[in-house]
Amino acid sequence: MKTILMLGLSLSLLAPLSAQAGAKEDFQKIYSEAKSTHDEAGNFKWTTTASRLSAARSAADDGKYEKAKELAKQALQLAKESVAQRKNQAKVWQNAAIGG
Amino acid sequence: MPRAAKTILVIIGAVLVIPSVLAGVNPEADRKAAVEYFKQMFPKVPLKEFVNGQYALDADRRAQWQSLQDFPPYEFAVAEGKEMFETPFANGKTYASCFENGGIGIRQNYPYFDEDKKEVITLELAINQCREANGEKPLKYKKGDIASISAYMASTSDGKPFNIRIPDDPAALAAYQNGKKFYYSRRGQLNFSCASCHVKNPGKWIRADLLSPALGQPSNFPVHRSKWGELGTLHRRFAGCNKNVRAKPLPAQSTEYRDLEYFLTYMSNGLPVVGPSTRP
Repeated sequence: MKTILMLGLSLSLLAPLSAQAGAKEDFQKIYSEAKSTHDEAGNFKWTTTASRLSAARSAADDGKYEKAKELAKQALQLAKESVAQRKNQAKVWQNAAIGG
Repeated sequence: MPRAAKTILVIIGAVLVIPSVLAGVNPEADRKAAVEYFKQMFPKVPLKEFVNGQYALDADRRAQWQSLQDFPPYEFAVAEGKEMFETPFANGKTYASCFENGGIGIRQNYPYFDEDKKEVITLELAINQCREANGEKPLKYKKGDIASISAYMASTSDGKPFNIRIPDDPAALAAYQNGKKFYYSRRGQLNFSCASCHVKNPGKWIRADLLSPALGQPSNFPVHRSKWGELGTLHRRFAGCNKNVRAKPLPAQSTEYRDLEYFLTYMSNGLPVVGPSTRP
Protein backbone atom coordinates (compact mmCIF):
# COMPACT_ATOMS: atom_id res chain seq x y z
CA MET A 1 0.00 0.00 0.00
CA LYS A 2 2.82 2.34 0.99
CA THR A 3 4.67 1.55 -2.26
CA ILE A 4 1.60 2.34 -4.37
CA LEU A 5 1.12 5.60 -2.53
CA MET A 6 4.76 6.58 -3.09
CA LEU A 7 4.52 5.69 -6.78
CA GLY A 8 1.34 7.73 -7.19
CA LEU A 9 2.88 10.69 -5.44
CA SER A 10 6.00 10.53 -7.60
CA LEU A 11 3.96 10.34 -10.80
CA SER A 12 1.79 13.28 -9.79
CA LEU A 13 4.92 15.34 -9.17
CA LEU A 14 6.60 14.33 -12.42
CA ALA A 15 3.59 14.78 -14.72
CA PRO A 16 3.65 18.61 -14.83
CA LEU A 17 7.39 18.55 -15.43
CA SER A 18 7.06 16.22 -18.41
CA ALA A 19 4.16 18.31 -19.79
CA GLN A 20 6.35 21.38 -19.42
CA ALA A 21 9.16 19.63 -21.28
CA GLY A 22 6.71 18.70 -24.10
CA ALA A 23 5.43 22.25 -24.38
CA LYS A 24 8.98 23.58 -24.51
CA GLU A 25 9.89 21.25 -27.37
CA ASP A 26 6.65 22.06 -29.20
CA PHE A 27 7.35 25.77 -28.80
CA GLN A 28 10.90 25.47 -30.08
CA LYS A 29 9.75 23.57 -33.16
CA ILE A 30 6.91 25.96 -34.03
CA TYR A 31 8.96 29.07 -33.22
CA SER A 32 11.79 27.91 -35.43
CA GLU A 33 9.41 27.22 -38.33
CA ALA A 34 7.68 30.60 -37.81
CA LYS A 35 11.00 32.41 -37.83
CA SER A 36 12.26 30.76 -41.02
CA THR A 37 8.91 31.35 -42.75
CA HIS A 38 9.04 35.02 -41.65
CA ASP A 39 12.54 35.29 -43.18
CA GLU A 40 11.24 33.68 -46.38
CA ALA A 41 8.88 36.65 -46.79
CA GLY A 42 11.93 38.81 -47.64
CA ASN A 43 10.88 42.45 -47.99
CA PHE A 44 7.24 41.48 -47.53
CA LYS A 45 7.61 40.80 -43.79
CA TRP A 46 4.70 41.87 -41.60
CA THR A 47 5.10 43.87 -38.38
CA THR A 48 2.42 41.70 -36.79
CA THR A 49 4.49 38.56 -37.38
CA ALA A 50 7.54 40.22 -35.88
CA SER A 51 5.63 41.31 -32.78
CA ARG A 52 4.12 37.82 -32.25
CA LEU A 53 7.57 36.25 -32.59
CA SER A 54 9.00 38.67 -30.11
CA ALA A 55 6.14 38.07 -27.64
CA ALA A 56 6.54 34.29 -28.03
CA ARG A 57 10.26 34.52 -27.30
CA SER A 58 9.61 36.67 -24.28
CA ALA A 59 6.96 34.25 -22.89
CA ALA A 60 9.37 31.34 -23.39
CA ASP A 61 12.12 33.24 -21.56
CA ASP A 62 9.69 33.55 -18.64
CA GLY A 63 9.06 29.78 -18.75
CA LYS A 64 5.46 30.20 -19.99
CA TYR A 65 5.74 27.63 -22.77
CA GLU A 66 2.02 27.06 -23.40
CA LYS A 67 1.52 30.77 -24.01
CA ALA A 68 4.73 30.93 -26.05
CA LYS A 69 3.56 28.00 -28.20
CA GLU A 70 0.23 29.72 -28.89
CA LEU A 71 1.94 32.98 -29.90
CA ALA A 72 4.42 31.11 -32.11
CA LYS A 73 1.49 29.38 -33.84
CA GLN A 74 -0.07 32.78 -34.54
CA ALA A 75 3.26 34.05 -35.86
CA LEU A 76 3.59 31.03 -38.13
CA GLN A 77 0.13 31.61 -39.61
CA LEU A 78 0.88 35.30 -40.25
CA ALA A 79 4.27 34.46 -41.73
CA LYS A 80 2.69 31.96 -44.12
CA GLU A 81 0.25 34.63 -45.28
CA SER A 82 3.09 37.11 -45.88
CA VAL A 83 4.99 34.54 -47.97
CA ALA A 84 1.81 33.87 -49.99
CA GLN A 85 1.47 37.64 -50.49
CA ARG A 86 5.05 37.92 -51.74
CA LYS A 87 4.54 35.09 -54.24
CA ASN A 88 1.20 36.41 -55.41
CA GLN A 89 2.41 40.00 -55.84
CA ALA A 90 5.38 38.84 -57.92
CA LYS A 91 2.79 37.63 -60.46
CA VAL A 92 0.14 40.33 -60.31
CA TRP A 93 1.75 43.68 -59.40
CA GLN A 94 1.94 44.81 -63.02
CA ASN A 95 -1.83 44.45 -63.45
CA ALA A 96 -2.25 47.55 -61.27
CA ALA A 97 0.65 49.55 -62.72
CA ILE A 98 0.23 52.57 -64.97
CA GLY A 99 2.05 51.58 -68.16
CA GLY A 100 1.90 47.89 -67.14
CA MET B 1 31.71 21.95 -61.04
CA PRO B 2 34.73 24.27 -60.94
CA ARG B 3 34.06 27.74 -59.53
CA ALA B 4 35.04 29.49 -62.77
CA ALA B 5 32.56 27.40 -64.76
CA LYS B 6 29.80 28.26 -62.25
CA THR B 7 30.60 31.96 -62.55
CA ILE B 8 30.48 31.79 -66.35
CA LEU B 9 27.10 30.02 -66.19
CA VAL B 10 25.72 32.69 -63.83
CA ILE B 11 26.93 35.48 -66.15
CA ILE B 12 25.43 33.75 -69.22
CA GLY B 13 22.19 33.25 -67.28
CA ALA B 14 22.08 36.92 -66.29
CA VAL B 15 22.81 38.04 -69.85
CA LEU B 16 19.96 35.90 -71.12
CA VAL B 17 17.46 36.65 -68.34
CA ILE B 18 17.91 40.41 -67.68
CA PRO B 19 16.96 41.59 -71.19
CA SER B 20 13.83 39.40 -71.23
CA VAL B 21 12.79 40.67 -67.78
CA LEU B 22 13.34 44.27 -68.88
CA ALA B 23 11.78 43.88 -72.31
CA GLY B 24 8.99 46.41 -72.63
CA VAL B 25 10.24 48.56 -69.73
CA ASN B 26 9.78 52.14 -70.90
CA PRO B 27 10.10 54.75 -68.14
CA GLU B 28 9.19 57.71 -70.37
CA ALA B 29 6.03 55.98 -71.61
CA ASP B 30 5.16 55.22 -67.96
CA ARG B 31 5.68 58.86 -66.99
CA LYS B 32 3.55 60.20 -69.82
CA ALA B 33 0.81 57.69 -69.03
CA ALA B 34 0.93 58.71 -65.37
CA VAL B 35 0.64 62.41 -66.24
CA GLU B 36 -2.39 61.66 -68.42
CA TYR B 37 -3.93 59.47 -65.73
CA PHE B 38 -3.75 62.19 -63.08
CA LYS B 39 -4.80 64.94 -65.47
CA GLN B 40 -7.95 62.97 -66.20
CA MET B 41 -8.51 62.23 -62.53
CA PHE B 42 -8.11 65.91 -61.54
CA PRO B 43 -8.87 67.95 -64.68
CA LYS B 44 -9.03 71.27 -62.78
CA VAL B 45 -5.61 70.89 -61.17
CA PRO B 46 -2.75 72.49 -63.16
CA LEU B 47 0.08 69.99 -63.71
CA LYS B 48 2.66 71.92 -61.68
CA GLU B 49 0.27 72.06 -58.72
CA PHE B 50 0.61 68.30 -58.15
CA VAL B 51 3.85 68.97 -56.27
CA ASN B 52 1.71 70.45 -53.49
CA GLY B 53 0.03 67.10 -52.88
CA GLN B 54 -3.17 67.28 -50.89
CA TYR B 55 -3.05 71.11 -50.93
CA ALA B 56 -3.69 71.00 -54.67
CA LEU B 57 -6.86 68.99 -54.09
CA ASP B 58 -8.65 70.48 -51.09
CA ALA B 59 -9.43 74.20 -50.63
CA ASP B 60 -9.65 74.10 -46.82
CA ARG B 61 -6.36 72.27 -46.45
CA ARG B 62 -4.76 74.66 -48.92
CA ALA B 63 -5.92 77.70 -46.94
CA GLN B 64 -4.46 76.24 -43.72
CA TRP B 65 -1.18 75.47 -45.50
CA GLN B 66 -0.94 78.94 -47.02
CA SER B 67 -1.36 80.59 -43.64
CA LEU B 68 1.32 78.28 -42.24
CA GLN B 69 3.68 79.42 -45.00
CA ASP B 70 3.80 82.92 -43.45
CA PHE B 71 6.21 81.49 -40.87
CA PRO B 72 7.25 78.07 -42.18
CA PRO B 73 8.21 75.75 -39.31
CA TYR B 74 11.26 74.43 -41.19
CA GLU B 75 12.98 77.83 -41.54
CA PHE B 76 15.36 77.39 -38.60
CA ALA B 77 16.31 73.89 -39.79
CA VAL B 78 17.15 75.25 -43.25
CA ALA B 79 19.30 77.98 -41.69
CA GLU B 80 21.09 75.34 -39.60
CA GLY B 81 21.49 73.19 -42.71
CA LYS B 82 23.13 76.10 -44.53
CA GLU B 83 25.51 76.66 -41.65
CA MET B 84 26.47 72.98 -41.54
CA PHE B 85 26.84 72.90 -45.31
CA GLU B 86 29.27 75.81 -45.21
CA THR B 87 31.23 74.77 -42.10
CA PRO B 88 34.53 73.10 -43.07
CA PHE B 89 35.21 69.48 -42.05
CA ALA B 90 38.24 68.74 -39.88
CA ASN B 91 40.33 68.51 -43.07
CA GLY B 92 39.31 72.02 -44.11
CA LYS B 93 37.08 71.00 -47.03
CA THR B 94 33.32 71.54 -47.14
CA TYR B 95 30.35 69.71 -48.67
CA ALA B 96 30.69 71.94 -51.71
CA SER B 97 33.86 70.04 -52.68
CA CYS B 98 31.86 66.84 -53.27
CA PHE B 99 29.12 68.17 -55.53
CA GLU B 100 28.72 69.61 -58.97
CA ASN B 101 28.30 73.41 -58.87
CA GLY B 102 29.41 73.38 -55.25
CA GLY B 103 26.15 71.62 -54.30
CA ILE B 104 24.03 74.68 -55.11
CA GLY B 105 20.94 74.22 -57.30
CA ILE B 106 21.43 70.50 -57.95
CA ARG B 107 18.57 68.86 -56.03
CA GLN B 108 16.56 68.39 -59.24
CA ASN B 109 19.17 65.90 -60.53
CA TYR B 110 18.81 63.53 -57.55
CA PRO B 111 18.57 60.60 -57.31
CA TYR B 112 20.83 59.56 -60.16
CA PHE B 113 22.13 56.19 -61.32
CA ASP B 114 25.87 55.70 -60.80
CA GLU B 115 26.99 53.66 -63.80
CA ASP B 116 30.29 52.67 -62.18
CA LYS B 117 28.84 51.49 -58.90
CA LYS B 118 25.65 50.25 -60.58
CA GLU B 119 23.41 51.76 -57.94
CA VAL B 120 21.05 54.63 -57.28
CA ILE B 121 22.59 57.57 -55.40
CA THR B 122 20.17 59.74 -53.47
CA LEU B 123 21.02 63.20 -52.19
CA GLU B 124 21.16 61.99 -48.57
CA LEU B 125 23.44 59.10 -49.53
CA ALA B 126 25.70 61.52 -51.43
CA ILE B 127 25.83 63.79 -48.36
CA ASN B 128 27.05 60.91 -46.20
CA GLN B 129 29.46 59.67 -48.87
CA CYS B 130 30.90 63.19 -48.88
CA ARG B 131 31.30 63.11 -45.11
CA GLU B 132 33.01 59.73 -45.14
CA ALA B 133 35.31 60.72 -48.01
CA ASN B 134 36.42 63.62 -45.84
CA GLY B 135 37.00 61.57 -42.69
CA GLU B 136 33.72 62.44 -40.96
CA LYS B 137 31.19 60.01 -39.45
CA PRO B 138 28.00 59.46 -41.48
CA LEU B 139 24.76 61.02 -40.21
CA LYS B 140 21.58 59.10 -39.40
CA TYR B 141 19.32 59.07 -42.43
CA LYS B 142 15.78 59.83 -41.31
CA LYS B 143 15.90 63.16 -39.48
CA GLY B 144 18.12 65.69 -37.77
CA ASP B 145 21.23 67.12 -39.39
CA ILE B 146 20.92 65.20 -42.65
CA ALA B 147 17.36 66.45 -43.15
CA SER B 148 18.49 70.02 -42.45
CA ILE B 149 21.42 69.86 -44.91
CA SER B 150 19.24 68.20 -47.54
CA ALA B 151 16.53 70.83 -46.96
CA TYR B 152 19.02 73.65 -47.45
CA MET B 153 20.30 72.06 -50.66
CA ALA B 154 16.71 71.56 -51.89
CA SER B 155 15.94 75.22 -51.13
CA THR B 156 18.71 76.27 -53.53
CA SER B 157 16.89 74.40 -56.31
CA ASP B 158 13.52 76.01 -55.63
CA GLY B 159 11.44 75.97 -58.82
CA LYS B 160 13.94 74.03 -60.93
CA PRO B 161 12.31 71.15 -62.82
CA PHE B 162 13.27 67.60 -61.88
CA ASN B 163 15.59 66.08 -64.44
CA ILE B 164 16.12 62.44 -63.45
CA ARG B 165 18.03 60.48 -66.07
CA ILE B 166 17.91 56.78 -66.72
CA PRO B 167 21.08 55.93 -68.64
CA ASP B 168 21.12 53.34 -71.38
CA ASP B 169 22.27 50.63 -69.00
CA PRO B 170 20.30 47.47 -68.14
CA ALA B 171 21.24 47.92 -64.48
CA ALA B 172 19.69 51.40 -64.42
CA LEU B 173 16.54 50.15 -66.07
CA ALA B 174 16.42 47.27 -63.58
CA ALA B 175 16.70 49.74 -60.67
CA TYR B 176 13.80 51.78 -62.10
CA GLN B 177 11.73 48.64 -62.60
CA ASN B 178 12.49 47.43 -59.04
CA GLY B 179 11.26 50.75 -57.72
CA LYS B 180 8.12 50.52 -59.81
CA LYS B 181 7.51 46.96 -58.62
CA PHE B 182 7.88 48.09 -55.01
CA TYR B 183 5.42 50.96 -55.54
CA TYR B 184 2.73 48.74 -57.03
CA SER B 185 3.17 45.62 -54.86
CA ARG B 186 0.69 45.16 -52.05
CA ARG B 187 2.38 44.44 -48.75
CA GLY B 188 1.74 44.28 -45.04
CA GLN B 189 -1.14 42.65 -43.19
CA LEU B 190 -3.50 45.33 -44.54
CA ASN B 191 -2.52 44.31 -48.10
CA PHE B 192 -1.96 47.86 -49.41
CA SER B 193 0.50 49.03 -52.03
CA CYS B 194 1.77 52.61 -52.26
CA ALA B 195 -0.42 52.81 -55.36
CA SER B 196 -3.54 51.64 -53.48
CA CYS B 197 -3.59 55.07 -51.83
CA HIS B 198 -1.66 57.37 -54.15
CA VAL B 199 -2.74 56.10 -57.59
CA LYS B 200 -6.15 54.57 -56.99
CA ASN B 201 -7.48 56.86 -54.28
CA PRO B 202 -5.81 60.29 -54.15
CA GLY B 203 -8.17 63.03 -53.00
CA LYS B 204 -10.03 60.61 -50.72
CA TRP B 205 -9.80 60.46 -46.96
CA ILE B 206 -8.26 57.61 -45.04
CA ARG B 207 -9.17 58.33 -41.44
CA ALA B 208 -7.94 61.91 -40.92
CA ASP B 209 -5.48 61.85 -43.82
CA LEU B 210 -6.23 63.25 -47.26
CA LEU B 211 -4.38 61.07 -49.76
CA SER B 212 -1.98 62.81 -52.13
CA PRO B 213 -1.39 61.80 -55.77
CA ALA B 214 1.78 59.90 -56.74
CA LEU B 215 2.69 62.62 -59.21
CA GLY B 216 4.93 65.23 -57.58
CA GLN B 217 5.23 63.35 -54.29
CA PRO B 218 9.01 63.59 -53.81
CA SER B 219 9.16 67.26 -54.87
CA ASN B 220 8.48 68.67 -51.42
CA PHE B 221 11.00 66.64 -49.41
CA PRO B 222 12.51 66.91 -46.90
CA VAL B 223 9.23 67.72 -45.27
CA HIS B 224 8.19 69.19 -41.92
CA ARG B 225 5.26 67.13 -40.70
CA SER B 226 3.09 68.33 -37.86
CA LYS B 227 2.94 64.71 -36.73
CA TRP B 228 6.74 64.61 -36.43
CA GLY B 229 7.17 68.16 -35.19
CA GLU B 230 10.36 68.33 -37.24
CA LEU B 231 11.86 67.75 -40.67
CA GLY B 232 12.14 64.24 -42.03
CA THR B 233 13.51 62.64 -45.16
CA LEU B 234 11.62 60.83 -47.91
CA HIS B 235 12.86 57.47 -46.65
CA ARG B 236 11.48 58.24 -43.22
CA ARG B 237 8.11 58.72 -44.92
CA PHE B 238 8.49 55.47 -46.91
CA ALA B 239 9.13 53.61 -43.65
CA GLY B 240 6.11 55.27 -42.01
CA CYS B 241 3.82 54.32 -44.90
CA ASN B 242 5.04 50.72 -44.78
CA LYS B 243 4.45 50.61 -41.05
CA ASN B 244 0.93 52.03 -41.46
CA VAL B 245 -0.04 48.99 -43.53
CA ARG B 246 1.72 46.66 -41.07
CA ALA B 247 4.61 45.91 -43.38
CA LYS B 248 8.03 45.75 -41.75
CA PRO B 249 9.82 48.93 -42.86
CA LEU B 250 13.17 48.61 -44.60
CA PRO B 251 16.22 50.60 -43.53
CA ALA B 252 16.50 54.15 -44.87
CA GLN B 253 18.82 54.15 -47.92
CA SER B 254 18.34 50.41 -48.45
CA THR B 255 18.60 49.44 -52.12
CA GLU B 256 14.84 48.93 -52.25
CA TYR B 257 14.01 52.41 -50.95
CA ARG B 258 16.62 54.04 -53.22
CA ASP B 259 15.16 52.25 -56.24
CA LEU B 260 11.69 53.31 -55.11
CA GLU B 261 12.84 56.94 -54.90
CA TYR B 262 14.40 56.63 -58.37
CA PHE B 263 11.12 55.44 -59.89
CA LEU B 264 8.96 57.90 -58.00
CA THR B 265 11.13 60.92 -58.75
CA TYR B 266 11.42 59.99 -62.43
CA MET B 267 7.61 60.12 -62.55
CA SER B 268 7.91 63.77 -61.43
CA ASN B 269 10.34 64.79 -64.16
CA GLY B 270 9.53 68.29 -65.38
CA LEU B 271 7.75 69.26 -62.15
CA PRO B 272 9.44 71.84 -59.93
CA VAL B 273 11.40 71.27 -56.73
CA VAL B 274 9.39 72.80 -53.88
CA GLY B 275 11.13 71.28 -50.88
CA PRO B 276 11.34 71.72 -48.03
CA SER B 277 7.65 71.98 -47.34
CA THR B 278 5.08 71.23 -44.67
CA ARG B 279 2.57 68.43 -44.33
CA PRO B 280 0.12 67.45 -41.56
